[in-house]
Amino acid sequence: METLLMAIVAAPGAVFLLLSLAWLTGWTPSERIVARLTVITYVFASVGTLSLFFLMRSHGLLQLSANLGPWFSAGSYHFASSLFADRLSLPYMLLTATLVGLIGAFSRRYLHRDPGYFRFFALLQLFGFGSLLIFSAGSFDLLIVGWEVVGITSVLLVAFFYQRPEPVRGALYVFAMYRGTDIGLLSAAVALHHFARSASYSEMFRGAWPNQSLNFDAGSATLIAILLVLAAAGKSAQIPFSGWLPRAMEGPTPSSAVFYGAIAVHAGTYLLLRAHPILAASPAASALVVLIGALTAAHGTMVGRACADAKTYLSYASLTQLGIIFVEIGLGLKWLAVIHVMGHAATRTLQFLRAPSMLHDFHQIHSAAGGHLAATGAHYETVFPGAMRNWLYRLAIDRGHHDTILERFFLGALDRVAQALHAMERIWSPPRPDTDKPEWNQEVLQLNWKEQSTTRARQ
Amino acid sequence: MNQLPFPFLSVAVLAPVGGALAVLRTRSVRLARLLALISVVISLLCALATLWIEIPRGGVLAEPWAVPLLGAAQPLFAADMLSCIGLVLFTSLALLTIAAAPRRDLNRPRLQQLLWLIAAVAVVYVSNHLLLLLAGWALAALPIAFANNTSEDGAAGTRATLLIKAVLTAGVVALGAAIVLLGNQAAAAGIVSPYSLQTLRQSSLAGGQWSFALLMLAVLFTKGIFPFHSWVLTAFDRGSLLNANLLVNAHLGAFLIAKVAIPVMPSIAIGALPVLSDVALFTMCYMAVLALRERAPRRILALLFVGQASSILVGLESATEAGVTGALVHWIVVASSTTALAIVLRLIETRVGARVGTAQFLGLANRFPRLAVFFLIGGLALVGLPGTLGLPAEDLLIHGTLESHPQLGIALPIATALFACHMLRLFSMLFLGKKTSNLALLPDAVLRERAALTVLIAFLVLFGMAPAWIIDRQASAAIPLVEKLRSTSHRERPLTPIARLTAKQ
Repeated sequence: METLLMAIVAAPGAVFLLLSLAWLTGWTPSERIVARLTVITYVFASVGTLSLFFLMRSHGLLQLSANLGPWFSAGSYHFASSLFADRLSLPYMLLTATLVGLIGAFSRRYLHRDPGYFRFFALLQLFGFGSLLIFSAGSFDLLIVGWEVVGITSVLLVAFFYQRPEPVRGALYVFAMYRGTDIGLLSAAVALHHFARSASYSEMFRGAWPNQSLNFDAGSATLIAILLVLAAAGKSAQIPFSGWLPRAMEGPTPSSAVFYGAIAVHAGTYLLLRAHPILAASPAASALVVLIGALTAAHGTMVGRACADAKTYLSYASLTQLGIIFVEIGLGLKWLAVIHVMGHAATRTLQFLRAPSMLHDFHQIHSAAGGHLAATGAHYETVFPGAMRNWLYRLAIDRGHHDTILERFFLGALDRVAQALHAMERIWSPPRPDTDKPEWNQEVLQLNWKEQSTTRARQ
Repeated sequence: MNQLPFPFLSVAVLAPVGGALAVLRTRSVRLARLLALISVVISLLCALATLWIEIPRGGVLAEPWAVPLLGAAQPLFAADMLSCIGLVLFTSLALLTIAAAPRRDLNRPRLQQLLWLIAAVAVVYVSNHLLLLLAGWALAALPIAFANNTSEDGAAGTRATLLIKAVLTAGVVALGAAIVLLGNQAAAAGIVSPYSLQTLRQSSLAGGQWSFALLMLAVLFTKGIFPFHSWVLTAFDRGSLLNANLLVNAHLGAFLIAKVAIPVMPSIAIGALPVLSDVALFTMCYMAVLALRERAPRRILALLFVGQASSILVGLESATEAGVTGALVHWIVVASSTTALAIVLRLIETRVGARVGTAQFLGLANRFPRLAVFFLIGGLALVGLPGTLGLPAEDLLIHGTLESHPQLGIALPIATALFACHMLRLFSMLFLGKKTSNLALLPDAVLRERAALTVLIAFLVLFGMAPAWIIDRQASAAIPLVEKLRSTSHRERPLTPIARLTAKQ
């Protein structure tokens, strides 16, 4: 069973390495090979996860640990590399394997003859590996590895259409948010090593999920829990970090579906569920999770109603559900949260994948109904008075002033500091060529390229 | 001290010197390049042989002969694990730089400059004599300081050259003064070989605050720690990018702390290094914020380098096995990844025929996909993302630093996160965001460039996936330092807040 667990996680990673090496050596496999490899990998991962579930059940095992020994160590610090499967990780693993496999099968036609076809599938494999690693890691240390892998693949897929500036700017924004909130996870891991002497689940917690308790002094739980909530809120786009989710919609639809409808955004919920004994030991942190979740749900549903395009609307709908899941976790409704995650991920993936055909679907429904369906007019916002409705509408159109607040009070302040530092630098640094001057700019570069190209052509 | 069966260290030092002299005499650039490559390969092989002998034995390996120089007869060259790994790393990076560098960058004077630099750095790494170390240090700094060709920039270029000259010369003077003071103090204490590093490391010198302060000053100058960072930015921006990159990636400042400051003067180091560590931490944050408004790729690269290199000092001071080992592994990561980034950047500059600015997206990935991938992986390694050696290094460094400085240490992951954003911004501005259609005839990485960059990237990725070997080696270099600091700290150092908390529990 341990070998099977390792094989499930390693398979997408190995395929990614294989594809990357092939590309580096100058051979780009055909679309058919790439798609088949993807489908085979995830069919194996799905069947393997199901088999693992039944095998564990038949052996009466509530949890399974595959210890690979310390990945590296220095003095008393050991980076534990063990994989872990239990009643929490197996549903998430099955969800990942199934949905990534389905997205792979869908993308085979959706991205047919797209110049980035190979890149998409290579990154999908890497994403699958990262996600499976998050959900099967036996320690927070190893979870961080998967967490970062998912982050970087997410960013690279947002910038999939890299020849346009908007996806690239969106990717930069997503990356900044990810890296900013990942500090919480890194610091939590350090704190766990300090207070619990380990970041391994089996050493930190007693019992099997969902009936676990802390194996270390609960005095430090609030600090660790708040750091973990920071990381989870960043990954699951909760308030105040929700601004990245609509920007992430710049990527191709299949990646939006699997990342922001299904797997990546739910990684935050997994983190909180996994760390639930720590959360439960801190009423303050639990209250924070409920508050963040409630605010996000309200924000998501309000802004979603004022969105003009399908993918952004769906992203805010995801946000609403994620907020509700956070509330459930904060209230200690663990199983409900897991069931909610599974249902939401599957439904949202379907909606995202159908989004490009929405008009077609719309017409089909109306045709089937024998004409246009009458609008019900029954919307929740009608309970508000007119003036308040207008105010809320303006708030929703500007996405809750989220970006304005962030830019004015955080990014703007940071930028002003940077500007002041540059002014100070000019005092003692020698004058430098300005990159905005004509001799450095794009036009001259293009002239240079043309000149070089002509020279080479002549040669 | 164990004896080496063959004078590998002397050959490692002399091979680049021979190469430089041979390059001086030859007229053909191609032959000069070949000679340079051969001499660096010889130096690398000798370094590898020493490391091969050092790994099972441990301790210090000395040359088979002793030379009487200002005291009792002592071996001129000796190497421990730190020196061996440093030498192997540096000669490898030099070799890969020569192999991948654009031809226009490797004319005869530049090649000579590079070979003298390699020889000088090798002297610093393996010197057992402080005066020899000083000579190596000066020789390493001088080629960059005095052969920096910025004539095309007019008055601004002259000022830039002056700045580099001034800071590097100040570093040499500070180190020289520190060594003389230290030698005098050792002689006064009745030590027979007052300039022998091994002798000084074994004896515990009391006092010596002034020499320690001067040593730290030399470190600040050389490493470009705030407020002396401008020379690194200027050297990257205006000088030969690859030569400047090699000089700073010798990490002579960090080496001086690990090899001289901590072992020779641990009682002062334990009190003074936290100050240096705080300054280094401040430098990291300063560079991270400064980079927000920076647009020139060379300067962004320099800011990334200075910031990430500062974290090495933070780790060295942490006095934890994780922190010091992390710092030493991070040294390798910073050196390898910034070399990869500098090579790619220089290759792009030579292809487009100008220094590139990132005021707009350049979208070069369309034409240089492999260079883009090399740049991305090298950059991600520098900022500690998974799948590269950067992750274990960053992980150890953050653990060690937060353990020893829970309040200030949090600045380290924050600054690292900002650096990661700058790295991705630089990558995006250079390679993404635009469709380039008029570069059809410019080649992506050619075979020799691809080979050199593949070696660098493969090193970062393979050791990123299986980092235990390299971390164990660096841990064995770190343990003596930690023990030295700890043995002193038990007596003199106040408990950190987190340690006090644990003690209460």
